[in-house]
Amino acid sequence: MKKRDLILLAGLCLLFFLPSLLSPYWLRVIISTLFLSCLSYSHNLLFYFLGYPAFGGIAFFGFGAYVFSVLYANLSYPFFLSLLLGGFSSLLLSLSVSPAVMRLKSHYFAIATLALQLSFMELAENLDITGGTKGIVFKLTQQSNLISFYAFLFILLTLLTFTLFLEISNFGLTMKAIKEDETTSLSVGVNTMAYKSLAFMSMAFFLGLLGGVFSFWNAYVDAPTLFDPMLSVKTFFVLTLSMSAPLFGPLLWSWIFEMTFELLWSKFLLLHGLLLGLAIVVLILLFPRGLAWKRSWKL
Amino acid sequence: MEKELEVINVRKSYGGNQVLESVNFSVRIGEAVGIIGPNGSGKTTLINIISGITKQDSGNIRLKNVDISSEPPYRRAKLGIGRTFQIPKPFSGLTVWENVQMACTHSGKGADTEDILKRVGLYELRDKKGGELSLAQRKRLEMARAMALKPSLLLLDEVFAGLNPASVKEMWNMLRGLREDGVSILMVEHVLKAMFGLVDRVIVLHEGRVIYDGSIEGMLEDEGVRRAYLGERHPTFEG
Repeated sequence: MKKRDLILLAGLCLLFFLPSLLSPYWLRVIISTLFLSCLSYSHNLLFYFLGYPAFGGIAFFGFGAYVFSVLYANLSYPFFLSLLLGGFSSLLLSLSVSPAVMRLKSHYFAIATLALQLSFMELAENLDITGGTKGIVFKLTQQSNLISFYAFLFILLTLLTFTLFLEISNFGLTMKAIKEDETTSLSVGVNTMAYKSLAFMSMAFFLGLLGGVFSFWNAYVDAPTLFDPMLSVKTFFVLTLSMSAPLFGPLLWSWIFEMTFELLWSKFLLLHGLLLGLAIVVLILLFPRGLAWKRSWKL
Repeated sequence: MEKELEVINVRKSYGGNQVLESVNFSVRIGEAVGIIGPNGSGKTTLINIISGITKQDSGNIRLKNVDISSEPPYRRAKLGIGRTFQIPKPFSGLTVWENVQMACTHSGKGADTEDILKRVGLYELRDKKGGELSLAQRKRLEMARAMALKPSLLLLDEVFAGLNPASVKEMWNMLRGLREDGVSILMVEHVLKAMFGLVDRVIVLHEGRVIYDGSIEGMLEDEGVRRAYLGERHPTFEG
């Protein structure tokens, strides 16, 4: 076993035992970091590999979250079954909109997903099954943080493995080719629509799963929380700075973002929003192509 | 002889601009046909319609007697239509090897990346990114990608354009080799000397219409072609 593998293994072991080493406050901060990392890796399946910015990808997160919440909190379905059904519901939703949405490109695609997000937000606020503006409240348990931590960690490791697979496989290579030039890809026999739809559905599935875990962790869901545009802003901030390092970039920048957010929030309660905005501008200006822009630094 | 390709009554317009008006012609199996015509006569549009990148307004495309008019471009590629572009389009972030390997994988015909790269003379450059290649190398890479599909019909869009005489000769030899392998070729070209040594027949397009379809010798004598494209006693054909 190489030294690098040993360090990675040690890091994973440390992560596994982290909850017993941290105070509840810091455990919550770490969970926020894991959550943002998972959001970023999910969006990156489409953004980094195909160049599609799903600014309204949160629609699938919210949809999965509501499916989970209704099944788990209202209908008392088992936790894991509800989670999986939340993920698969988002996948099916993406499958139904994919033929229309995946024909669009760049900002047209981004706007279409935003429209989806806003439509679902309106629907969620006006349907009885979602609790309308009152939302859905969960029973909080002692184990909520712990279960959420391991659930987010599991999704993160799955997303990392999936990203690694795409980085080294012909499947990922084909996606990168489509990103560069779809017409040329078609002319060498690539069914580009199938690849784009698969990537879109993968993103939606993971976002649906995340919606479920987030709902459980937050113990309360309503439309403004689940379809919060700030989630997309944070995600695309992380992704912009991770562009040249798809494997570990989102993890690194999610960490930096959450720590900065915590620091500003705890020290400058009234000004933290303004200062966070300034910090984002400064970071983007300092690292326009991300921290790992040199090939030798690629993570 | 059996037909490789049939273009039947193909029409195409963009807004009020009629680009192709009822175009008809065919290419026999193993035949090489050149398409020439002034800029804007619809040559590239025709290539795009045959490869499926552009949809015709009406008319049919048949490949080996099978109507492929409604087939998407990737299906046509798998059916045996390989093509190059007027402006070479390598996947610039992928290596030369990856560019060709991708085409080999998706053609499903078991073409060997190493063999193809050696044949087009790019094997030594296999680890270079597509975006780092010169124009001549990019054109060879496009040829390699088209060859990876093991095509029965090759559509070439100005494959000699911008090449120096040595590169034209290399490309010419490559195409000659493909012809000997029995690949049918339909090529749009302005470098007439190079093209005339390769093709059996010439089609002349003018304002979206076929104004000539026949031998090279006949074309040089054709009054309509002279007026529309060649001009009077064009120096290309002196001697």
